[in-house]
Amino acid sequence: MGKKKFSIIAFSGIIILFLSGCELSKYPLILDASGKSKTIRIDANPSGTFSDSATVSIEDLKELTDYDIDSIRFYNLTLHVTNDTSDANATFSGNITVEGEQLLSLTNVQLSEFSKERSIFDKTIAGYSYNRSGVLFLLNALKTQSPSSIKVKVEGTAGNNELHFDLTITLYAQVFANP
Amino acid sequence: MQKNFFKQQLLLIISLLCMSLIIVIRTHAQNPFEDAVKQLNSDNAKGYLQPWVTAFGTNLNSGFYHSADISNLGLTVRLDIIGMGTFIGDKQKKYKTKNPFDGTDVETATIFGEMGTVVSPDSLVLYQFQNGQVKTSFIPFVVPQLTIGDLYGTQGVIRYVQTPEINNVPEASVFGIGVRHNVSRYIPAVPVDLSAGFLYQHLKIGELFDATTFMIGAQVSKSFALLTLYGGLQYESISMDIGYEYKGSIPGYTPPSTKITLNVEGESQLRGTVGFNLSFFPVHLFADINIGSAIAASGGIGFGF
Repeated sequence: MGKKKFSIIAFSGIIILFLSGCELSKYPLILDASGKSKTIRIDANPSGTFSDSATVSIEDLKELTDYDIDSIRFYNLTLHVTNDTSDANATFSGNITVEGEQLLSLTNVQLSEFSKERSIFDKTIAGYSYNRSGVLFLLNALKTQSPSSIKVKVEGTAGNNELHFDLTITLYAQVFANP
Repeated sequence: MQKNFFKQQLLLIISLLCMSLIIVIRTHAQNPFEDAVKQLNSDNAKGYLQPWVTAFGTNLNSGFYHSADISNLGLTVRLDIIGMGTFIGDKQKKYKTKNPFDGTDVETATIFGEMGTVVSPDSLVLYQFQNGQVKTSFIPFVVPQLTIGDLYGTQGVIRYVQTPEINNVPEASVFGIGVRHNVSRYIPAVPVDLSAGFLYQHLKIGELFDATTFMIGAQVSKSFALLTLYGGLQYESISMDIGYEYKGSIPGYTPPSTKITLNVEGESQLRGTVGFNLSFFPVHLFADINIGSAIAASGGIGFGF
């Protein structure tokens, strides 16, 4: 074989090797939508009731990226207590609803449990459980982007101590996009 | 005849250079790649990207030598166009991270993996880790290398390539400098050529990635007319700084700053190399296989004497 043919074969091999290279973006890109937060102020006397609500907009999630959005999925909702001047042993009972659908039930729950951000799916907190109907509502709302905003209502009763704290509710979602 | 041969070689070199540009663009500069990184906190970014960093280090530390024969005093000027590629195995397609719901260990896809693992706190809600974004079993790269010598049995090596920013594709550049020294001159009775050397390189891709690689090793070769068989052992490392604006969110995780800067160390490795060089003066053809914690191949064409 002449050196000309040999070199052509050798370098054709290298070129084929390179062209067999990469396939990009075979799977959707997953974007974590920044947590959508709202904070509610709660103040209540011992055994007193409290009720407040906040509206979380979800319509801007689809503007998170310029890529084609395949779907948006709800995956978590969290509670976090800050600016807490309540008694250290303060407890409360109540529930959280989303557009009237029951999402979370709380029975004599220690307020201090929420000094760090807690998921509604947390199974380690006594007297704390989520409700399927509220989760299904959130899943569908984010999937269909309807309604464009979600009213979250918090209502409950204080235990034997006064309650004074800010409750931050954060909604987490994932956006599946096709680059 | 000779004129046509060189014309064809020139066309092949131009093709290779064009391809190296395309490869850099396709592999490193797509927005989905950068967007995927920006969604990761620093712990996940390390696991997600480490195989990519290691593959880059393995590539860059390939093709340094094609013979251990260095004269004590003489003129060597040789330009090599080196194509290199690292094979991506199953091990490079997964890493361990934490379940965002309960903190347990989860194995999910790296940048080279398949779909991200799905975890669920119950039967209703699903969380999916980032999907793999580069599907390949082979990461290629091309770099030119200029060798100049020989002075007191020593050769200097320079590598340099730069691609400009095109349509939001970040610029990329590689600069490398190395030295090789003839060891045979100290032990003349040895029937093979021996040399030792090191290579330092700096790679920059856009604003996100900034890497340095280092290798030190010993080489051996034996020539038979046009054919030179060569081999060697080398120790090598890569360190990549990655800086980006964190755009993700994880429940319970608040980054100290959205500006994340982290350092990813590739897997340091001891590598063995075997290969051959064919000299059709002044054209040289070479190819070798490299086996360490990663497997790589390199090959190319050189011009010079």
